[in-house]
Amino acid sequence: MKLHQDFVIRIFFAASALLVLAAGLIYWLYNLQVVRQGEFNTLAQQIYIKSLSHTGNRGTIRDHFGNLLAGNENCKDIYLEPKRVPGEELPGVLIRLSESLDVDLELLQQRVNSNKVEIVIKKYVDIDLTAQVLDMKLADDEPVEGLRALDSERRTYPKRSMLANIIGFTDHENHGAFGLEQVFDEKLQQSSGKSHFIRAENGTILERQGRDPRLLDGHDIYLTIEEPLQDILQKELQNLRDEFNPTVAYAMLADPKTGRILAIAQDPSFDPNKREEMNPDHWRNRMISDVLEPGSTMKPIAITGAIQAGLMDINTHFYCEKGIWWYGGRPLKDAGHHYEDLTVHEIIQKSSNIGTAKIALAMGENRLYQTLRRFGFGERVDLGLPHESRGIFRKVPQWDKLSITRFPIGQGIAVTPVQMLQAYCALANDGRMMKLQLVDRIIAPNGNVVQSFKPEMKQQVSSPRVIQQVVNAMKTVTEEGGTARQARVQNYNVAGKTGTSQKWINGSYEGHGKYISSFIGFVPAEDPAFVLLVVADEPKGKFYGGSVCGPTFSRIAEQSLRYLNIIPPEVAHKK
Amino acid sequence: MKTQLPARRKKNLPVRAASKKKQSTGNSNVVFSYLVVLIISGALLLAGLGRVYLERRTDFLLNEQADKKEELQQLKQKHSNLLLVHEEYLTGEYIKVRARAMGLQPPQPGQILKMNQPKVESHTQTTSQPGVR
Repeated sequence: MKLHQDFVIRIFFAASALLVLAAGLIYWLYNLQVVRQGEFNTLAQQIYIKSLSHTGNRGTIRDHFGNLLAGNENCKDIYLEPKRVPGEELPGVLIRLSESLDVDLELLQQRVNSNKVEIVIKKYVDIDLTAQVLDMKLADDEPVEGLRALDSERRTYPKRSMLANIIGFTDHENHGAFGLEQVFDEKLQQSSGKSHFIRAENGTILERQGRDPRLLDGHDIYLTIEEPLQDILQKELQNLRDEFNPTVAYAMLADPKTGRILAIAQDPSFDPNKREEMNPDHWRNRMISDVLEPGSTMKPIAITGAIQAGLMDINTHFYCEKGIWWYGGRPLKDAGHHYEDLTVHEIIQKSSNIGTAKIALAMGENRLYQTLRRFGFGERVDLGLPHESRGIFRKVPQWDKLSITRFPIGQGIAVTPVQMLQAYCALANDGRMMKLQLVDRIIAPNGNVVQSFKPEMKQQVSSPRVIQQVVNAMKTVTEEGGTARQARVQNYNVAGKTGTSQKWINGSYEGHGKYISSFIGFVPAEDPAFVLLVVADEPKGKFYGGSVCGPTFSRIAEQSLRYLNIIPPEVAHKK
Repeated sequence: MKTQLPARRKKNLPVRAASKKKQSTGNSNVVFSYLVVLIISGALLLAGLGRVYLERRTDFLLNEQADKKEELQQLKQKHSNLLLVHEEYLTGEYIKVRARAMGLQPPQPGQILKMNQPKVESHTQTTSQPGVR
C-alpha cells in the first residue's frame, strides 16, 4: 500500500515538473512567436532578403518610324583582385589577360603595383570574349580566383555617320557631350535603383521583388527625321563631293506644312563609333552654326516684300542697265548678261542683280529690313540645338549706302542654312511660317508619351496671293530661260532659286575664285511635299548654283518623291 | 457438436483459464503497440529521408535555375547586340545594293495608293523592339 502511495507521489512530482516545463516552453514559444515576432522577422529578412543596385540603360534615339540611330551595346567590364591570385601564378595570368584582351602588359603591371584591392583589366569587352577570359585556368586546373566581369553598356550608333552632327555623342561616362545627346542628356539619362530578392541558403535568388529594372531606363527620343530620306540625302551629297569636291556640302529637307525636318545631312561627317578617328572640325553642325552669304536665293524673299507693300506687281518692268549699273560709286553686274527691260517675274527667273537692287530701292530700307526680319533673318530658328547662330543682319541705322542694293541679292547679309530653309518653307506654305522641328516625341520607358512636339505656326509672313505670284515666277527658274534647268524633276513642277555667292576673303569678293553654290526649292510647286536646300562650299570645276547643286537637287527630289509616293499632278488629274 | 455456454457460465470459468485468456490478450496488445511504433517510426524515417532528398533536389534545381537564368540573361544581352547589328544592315544603302542585285525596281510614283492610316500608329508596330537598348 505504501509502495503504491510512493509511486503516486513520484508520478505527481514528475507530472508537475513536466507541466512546469511545458508551461515554460509554451511561454517561450509565445515570446518568440508573438511578443518578439517583429524583431525576429526583421533579423530573418536581413539574412534571406538581399538588395542589389541596378542602373538602367541610356535612352535610345530613333527616327520618326523607330529606326534606331543611337542605342546601347551590352558588354562587360573585367576586374581582377590580384591578391587572390597565387603570387607565382600572377605574372602568367597578367600575360594571358594582356594577350587575350589586347591590353598593354606594362599598364596591367602598373595597376597591380598600385596596391588596389581590385583593378580594372579592360572595360567594354565583348560578351563571348569575356566568357573565354573567365574560363581561364591556373596551372593546377583551378579557375582564377578574383577574376570577375560586371555588366556594362557602350553607346553605339548603328547607322555610323548618319546624322552624326545632329545626334552627337557621349563622353566616357556616358553623358551627352555633343548634339542631341547633350541637349536631351537629362531625359536620356538612366536612373539607378535597388531591387530586392529572396535568396536561398546558398545564395541562389529565389524571388525578385520591387520595380522592373527596365523602368530605370532613360527616355527614348524620336526625331522627325525619316531614315530613307536621310539616306537619299547622304548618298547624293557623296556624289556631289565626288563630282565637285567642295570643302563642305550640306542638304536639308523639310515639310513646309508642318515644319518637320525630314532629313538633314552634312558632308564631311564622322563616325561617332570610332572616337580615335574623329576630327573635331567635322563635329560642328554647320547648318545651324555657320553663316554664309546666300546670294540670289534671297531675291524672291525681298521681292515678296515689295509686291506685298503694293509698290509693284509681278509684271512691273524694270530697266536692267544692259548688265552693269553704277550705284553708290560701285558697279553692280548681272554676271555676263546684258538684260535691258525685265518684268519682276523675269528678274526672278533670270536672277538679275540689277533688277532686284532696283526693286529694293523702290521698297526703301525700312520695308526691306522688315520683310527680311519677317522671314526670320537675324533671329535664331530655335531648333533646340546648341551653338545656333542668328546670322549677321545689321539694323537699318548701321546700313551703308550700298546695303539696300546688296542685301536683297544676298550679299553683305549672312544667314544660316536653316534660316534659309525656314524662309522657303514659308514661301512653300502660302506664307505661313511653321516652327522648324527636329524632335517629334519623347517616350518614357513604360511606353507613355512624355512630350509630343506638335506643328506650331510662327507667323504669316505675306499674303497667299502675293506668295503665289512669286512662286509662279520661281517655277520658271527650272524651265527654258531660267538659271537652273538642271534642277528640273521629270513630271513635276519645281519652284526654286539658285544661289551663287562669291566668298568674302581678305576684304574682297574677287580674285580668289571661291564661291558658295546653292539651290533651294520645293516640289511639286502646286502643293509642295517638301522644301529642299542643297549647298556646296567652294566647289571645284563649276561654281554656279544651278550647275553644281541643281543636279543634286533634281536627283534627291526625284527619289524623295518616289519614296513619299507623291503622284505627279498630271497623273493625279487623270485619276 | 459444439455447445454454446450460456453467458452466466462464462463468468464462472475457473481462475486459471481466465488468466490464460488475459495473457494472450496482453501479448497481442504489446505486438500491436510494437507494430504501431514501428509503423510510425518507419513513416517518420521515410518522411525524414524524403525531406532530405527533396531539399537536396530543390537545391540542385534552384542552382540549375540560377544557372539557366544567368545563361538567359547572357543570351538576352547577345540578342540585343545582334539587333544592333541588324539595325546596321537596315540602312537604305545596304538594302538598295541588294535590291538592285536582285533586279528589283522602286515603284513609279502613284503606282501605290496610300492607305489613310496615320503614320504614328503604323509606326508603333514597327518599333516594338524592347530588346534593343
